[in-house]
Amino acid sequence: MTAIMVDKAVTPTSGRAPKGRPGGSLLTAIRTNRKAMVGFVIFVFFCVAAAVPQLFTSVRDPQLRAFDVSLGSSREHLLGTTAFGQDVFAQLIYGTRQSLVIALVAGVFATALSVLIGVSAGYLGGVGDGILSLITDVFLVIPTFPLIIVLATYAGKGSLGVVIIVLVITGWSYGARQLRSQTLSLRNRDFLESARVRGERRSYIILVEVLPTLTSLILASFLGAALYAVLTAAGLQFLGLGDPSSASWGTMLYWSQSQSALQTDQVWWAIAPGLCVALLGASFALLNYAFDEISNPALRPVRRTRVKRTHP
Amino acid sequence: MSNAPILEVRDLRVEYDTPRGPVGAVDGVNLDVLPGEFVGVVGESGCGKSTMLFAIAQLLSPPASIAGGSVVFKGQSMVGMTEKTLAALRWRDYSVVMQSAMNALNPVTSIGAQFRDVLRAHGSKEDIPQRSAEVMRLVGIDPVHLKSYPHQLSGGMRQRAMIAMALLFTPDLVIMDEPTSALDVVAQRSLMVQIKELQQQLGFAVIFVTHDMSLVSHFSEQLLVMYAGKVVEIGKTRSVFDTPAHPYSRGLLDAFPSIRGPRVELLGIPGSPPDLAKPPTGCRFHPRCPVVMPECSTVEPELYQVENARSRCLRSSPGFAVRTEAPQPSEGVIA
Amino acid sequence: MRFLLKRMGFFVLTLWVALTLNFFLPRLMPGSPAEALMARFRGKVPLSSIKPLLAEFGVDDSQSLVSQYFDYLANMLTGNWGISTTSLGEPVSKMIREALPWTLGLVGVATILAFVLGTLIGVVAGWRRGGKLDSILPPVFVITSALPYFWIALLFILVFSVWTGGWLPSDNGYDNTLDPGWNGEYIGNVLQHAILPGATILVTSIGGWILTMRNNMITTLAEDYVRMGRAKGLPNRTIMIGYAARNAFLPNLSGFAMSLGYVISGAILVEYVFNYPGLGYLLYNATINVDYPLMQALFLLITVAVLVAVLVSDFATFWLDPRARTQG
Repeated sequence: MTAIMVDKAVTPTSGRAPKGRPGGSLLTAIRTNRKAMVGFVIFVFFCVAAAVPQLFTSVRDPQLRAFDVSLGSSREHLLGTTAFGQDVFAQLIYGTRQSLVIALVAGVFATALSVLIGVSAGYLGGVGDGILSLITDVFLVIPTFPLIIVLATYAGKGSLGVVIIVLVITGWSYGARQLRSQTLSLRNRDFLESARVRGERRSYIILVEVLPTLTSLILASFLGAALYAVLTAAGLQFLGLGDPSSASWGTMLYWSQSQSALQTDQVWWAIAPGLCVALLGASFALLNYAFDEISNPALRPVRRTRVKRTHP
Repeated sequence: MSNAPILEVRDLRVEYDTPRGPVGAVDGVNLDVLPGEFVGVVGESGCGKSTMLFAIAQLLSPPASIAGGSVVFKGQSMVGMTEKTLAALRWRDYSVVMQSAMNALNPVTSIGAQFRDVLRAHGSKEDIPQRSAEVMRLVGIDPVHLKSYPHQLSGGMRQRAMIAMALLFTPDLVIMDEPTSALDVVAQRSLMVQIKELQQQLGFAVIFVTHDMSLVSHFSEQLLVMYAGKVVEIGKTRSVFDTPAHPYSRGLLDAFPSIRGPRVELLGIPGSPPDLAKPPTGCRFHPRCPVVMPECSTVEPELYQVENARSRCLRSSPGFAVRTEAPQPSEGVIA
Repeated sequence: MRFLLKRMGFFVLTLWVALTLNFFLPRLMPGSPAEALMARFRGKVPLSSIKPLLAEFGVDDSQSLVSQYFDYLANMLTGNWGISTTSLGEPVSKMIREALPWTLGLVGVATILAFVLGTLIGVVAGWRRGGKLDSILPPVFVITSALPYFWIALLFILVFSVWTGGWLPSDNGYDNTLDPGWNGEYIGNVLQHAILPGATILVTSIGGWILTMRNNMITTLAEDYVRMGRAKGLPNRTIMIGYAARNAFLPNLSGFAMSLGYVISGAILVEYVFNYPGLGYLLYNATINVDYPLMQALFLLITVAVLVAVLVSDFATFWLDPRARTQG
């Protein structure tokens, strides 16, 4: 391959069929891209906080009303205490677990559904595609949040499982659409044609030939779904539709709002949980954007070179 | 036809700015184009011919840029000209025809609108609909298609519409980048014939880039063969085509057997073009050359005069006595 | 033409799905609307009136499910949306009609503003690749577009309302002491109350538009026809707008409609935080009070709004993209 670029810039993945990247180059890619690095660090930090909360705080049960109410921030209570006498910082750390679990579980399942439906639709074509696409579009267009609110109310508030199921049902359609259009453009590529001619079964072709090519898109879908899950779950809990007794960022927000924390100068209680949601969400968004740049070189930051004006 | 060239390219160099450092895509090209002359440029994909074309037309975009040399068009030096001065020359004095009309025409506006915007941009005093219809008729398209959108026309029509657009101001030079590559063989030939006719009718010069040497050789007066960013043979078409001096040109020709001549074995050129980030030492073609000599890997050949052409091959250098080692020229002469 | 018919067909189909979902959900969930209602009204309303009340909600056990379903469809489509259980007797349609203008004004205006501004900024950012603007913008807006609406709302309240001692109001649509009317004082007050919630929506959603438009521009600028525009010596503005933006914008249009669902979720949260008397706030209250008729009607309305937006964007695409007109 010559180093010369053709005069056309590289079109996003639809133009070529890169084989799936091995994991090694993925990590290299993260290291070299600043945005990815930041997102990755934040994400890792939250993972650690979820796994070993004891590292960060001495409080064992964050929901226990063990302290004086509404204290300001101090060395003992980094972010003060709630109106019920709970340590805000401890709650934040312990709450990480639930938010992370929701994000990852819902993300994985939603992505799995996206891949199943999107790739099948794109590859099968014809009537199968028509039906699957219709289902996808319907789910895509129905406004999810009101649907979730309605579902959550009807199903009884609180259960984490219900929240995740609801997130998966409403979150798969966007990724499915993207995967479908990408699969469509790949369908007639030569490497697939050769697999067909070899007589491979359709399921084999999809699993072994098509999927690896779509890895970057699948990854992007996962990150998008995880982001969606984090924000929506927090929103639901904020409205009081989660489990009010559980330790999660959204419920913290719910309680702080119900106690008018902002107006009563309990600033950290009101703002910090949202900050965590924002940070986790931002980490997913940054990773997503960075992967976008990595897979589409045309989007990478360009140093504006002054056009060299040479003289005869 | 006067004898002063309208285009003089001297030592043109184009570089791509890559993360691994600058890569030379075009290295030291010299070219003269006379008024009304048809110049063909041939070579493999990636040899730099399109890049050179865009460099001449001052249409390079980052990361590519002109790293050296000069391009003098009608007495004015183009490299270093401000965009504003260039804009005045663009289309009026020289125009461009690109490879795929489907990609080169704005998909959301009609053909007529695309004629209109360039006519207006240059403050044309002419009646716009009239001139648009005129050029369409020139290329044999019914002017009613001015209202059509690019996707509504057939491939051949689209290509001719692009050529019509290029002729709106009857420029002195039309630069064409593989305009026939997207067409079938029959359409290719009819388009070439049409271009040649228009050229004789209106008197513009043409620089025609293609990978199909036999196609262009019927129509061109001057022929340029490029390899790995360098010109390896340049001269009168008859010379280069009938008696190619450079082994690469010979290889290209041998790849296109004559229909009427005796059966010859189809010879390709083994190997593939070099990585321009690390070009071979000495002659860039030496790793693939069928008649390579030991000095070829150390000495960089210049363009040496060989009758009516110049060839960048040590075997063509003056003082190189043994010319008979070169294999016989292939048939390629079409009556 | 076929394109338009297909889109209209999609509209009708999705609407039907939404309606049906709305109908079957309460019947599929544990418990029944009847029980919920009875529990709620116990002591306040005699049992004999509950049956007709339930009938209003489409829950009439004496009829078959199928006929209940068709009654429900008819009611929904003709605007006969029943009575809200929260307000004990106020017709749902009246409550919705009162809340609608607030949401349209706040969310509608802020969203459209975000879209228009975001697209314009994205065009310029994509055009000026490599400038200083281009290296700062993307990371910043990637982050802002991932921030939760309610958190930004809380931040704004903190900074502009609490810390400034109430300079910008953080509650309600207007000062309750004023009488609504078409006078300057009232309108001025309304606008003042709309600033923070509107700014929240604007700030959070604009990032996404800027980024997608910028990325589309960059991809489009690499196209041959843009280079042709340069070759023709056209002025930069013509190329940027007529050649690049016009093509880059098309995918954005359908994206806008699709994203409305997400915008509405954010709007619900924003209205909640600001106690803004719009549809979102209404939905929240309906949820808290388990007010099925109100919830159903609102869900329907929001779905219709999104579908209408999708249809409008389809028409717009049809108008702007000649290739869509000849597609099947």
